[in-house]
Amino acid sequence: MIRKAILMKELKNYYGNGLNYDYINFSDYFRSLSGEGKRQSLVSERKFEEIKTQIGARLSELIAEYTGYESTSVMKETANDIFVSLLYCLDMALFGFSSHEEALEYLIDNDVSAVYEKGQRVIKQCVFECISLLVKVKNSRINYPDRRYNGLFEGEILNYLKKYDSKYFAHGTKRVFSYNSVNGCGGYRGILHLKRYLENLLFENDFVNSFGEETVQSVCYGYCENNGIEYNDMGINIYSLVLMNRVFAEMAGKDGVEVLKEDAARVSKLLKKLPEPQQRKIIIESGEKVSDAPYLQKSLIKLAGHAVNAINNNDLNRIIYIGELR
Amino acid sequence: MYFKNKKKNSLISINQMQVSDPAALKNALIELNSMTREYGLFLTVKQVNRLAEAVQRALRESDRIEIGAGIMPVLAEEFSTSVFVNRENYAQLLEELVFIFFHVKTAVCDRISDRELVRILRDYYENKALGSVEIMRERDIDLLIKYIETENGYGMSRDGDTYDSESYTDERT
Repeated sequence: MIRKAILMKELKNYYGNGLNYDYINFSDYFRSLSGEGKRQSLVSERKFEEIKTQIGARLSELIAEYTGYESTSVMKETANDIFVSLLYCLDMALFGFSSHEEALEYLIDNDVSAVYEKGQRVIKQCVFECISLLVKVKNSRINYPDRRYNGLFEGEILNYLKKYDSKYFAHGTKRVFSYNSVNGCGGYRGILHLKRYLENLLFENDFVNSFGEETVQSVCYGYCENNGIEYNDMGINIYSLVLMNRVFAEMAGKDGVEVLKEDAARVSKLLKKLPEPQQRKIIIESGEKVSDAPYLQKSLIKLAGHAVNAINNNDLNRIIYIGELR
Repeated sequence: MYFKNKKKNSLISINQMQVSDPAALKNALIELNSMTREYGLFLTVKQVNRLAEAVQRALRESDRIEIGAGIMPVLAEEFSTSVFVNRENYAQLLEELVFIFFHVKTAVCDRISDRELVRILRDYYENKALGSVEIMRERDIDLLIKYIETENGYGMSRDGDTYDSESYTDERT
């Protein structure tokens, strides 16, 4: 394998044709990689046709299985779902390689059936990882009675996992959960999307829990009270609330998450004197002092925008809890 | 791995996938000749080619994808024993039937197996349409669909018309 990769690189250097990464698309990996391989003559015309024929054969088998061998035809929409699911499975088999060249090499050396079987194994492994992550997220659950947040653990995620169809609808993605993590799932689809979502939740739970149960509850209850909303229907991500409280406390020169009225007034007054990009920069820099975790840094970029708007509209109550912790 | 952008690439699409097998279909129909010959039925190579094209047209019309040799050999085998089928109308009947088959199958959202649908079509053709595929296609196709959808048993009425196969018997047997 390594020898072949070296050979491929040598050929690339000799002929000047290597993979152009511009044409390789993460959300359509197998197709874009094989297409680019063909364009650069790393995959021969004959091999490419062979791949297509093998995909056709695999698709036929899957359609037959799908109908329970009781039908020789399906609606185009159904066939398309099965086809996309098959491609997703091939993507999953190829994601494990450290470079596009290695992935392409594997594709050339193996027939589609073998790649597909590997993809199925990877998907199954990913499902197990999601179950394990779900247990971890559940164990680190934030002790606050928000309806949407708790709904996640009362069946929402588990139901998705139970219904997840790795064979005929592996690419199926639950894009919207009743409670969203602050950071998105980076364009992932299918089971990878859920995995990323659970990883996000796990980070958020751990961060929030690091401030202690009573403190977090105090921030959440106080926030609902200040905004006149039901305790169990916050409509805001708990992590974002706690994080922004921590960032504003940091800007006020305090530890913890408590932001008193005078702290908020002082920070707002100072920030308002600055242009928006500067305000944003200060908020992000203060956040960087809180933690250097990449997830948190990414959250800050998103949340800083909301914070700037809230400050300039005298609406800071909307994003943080201002008041004494009980 | 490094991903730079999200440009689309569609060198491999479902429309390019060869899931049906026209050669297998043609072979199956030609092979059937040896069996149907005893009923005086025979398909020429020209007719076989025409039927293979008809299948593709019917699939396009009903927005379906077929695998392997498909349904045509099954239809041919089933209908070749019908009393209403003869040398003259055999090929034309199969051509019409394949359109009806895919239309009904799509209309009922695939809630019926191939075998069961072929059985119902044969039953209807013999006992209700009395050998007129035009009646099936032009007049009674909705009745057939409704019957399959509701699974209401034989005897559904539409404008005073009923589909009741119990009162008919298969004369060929």
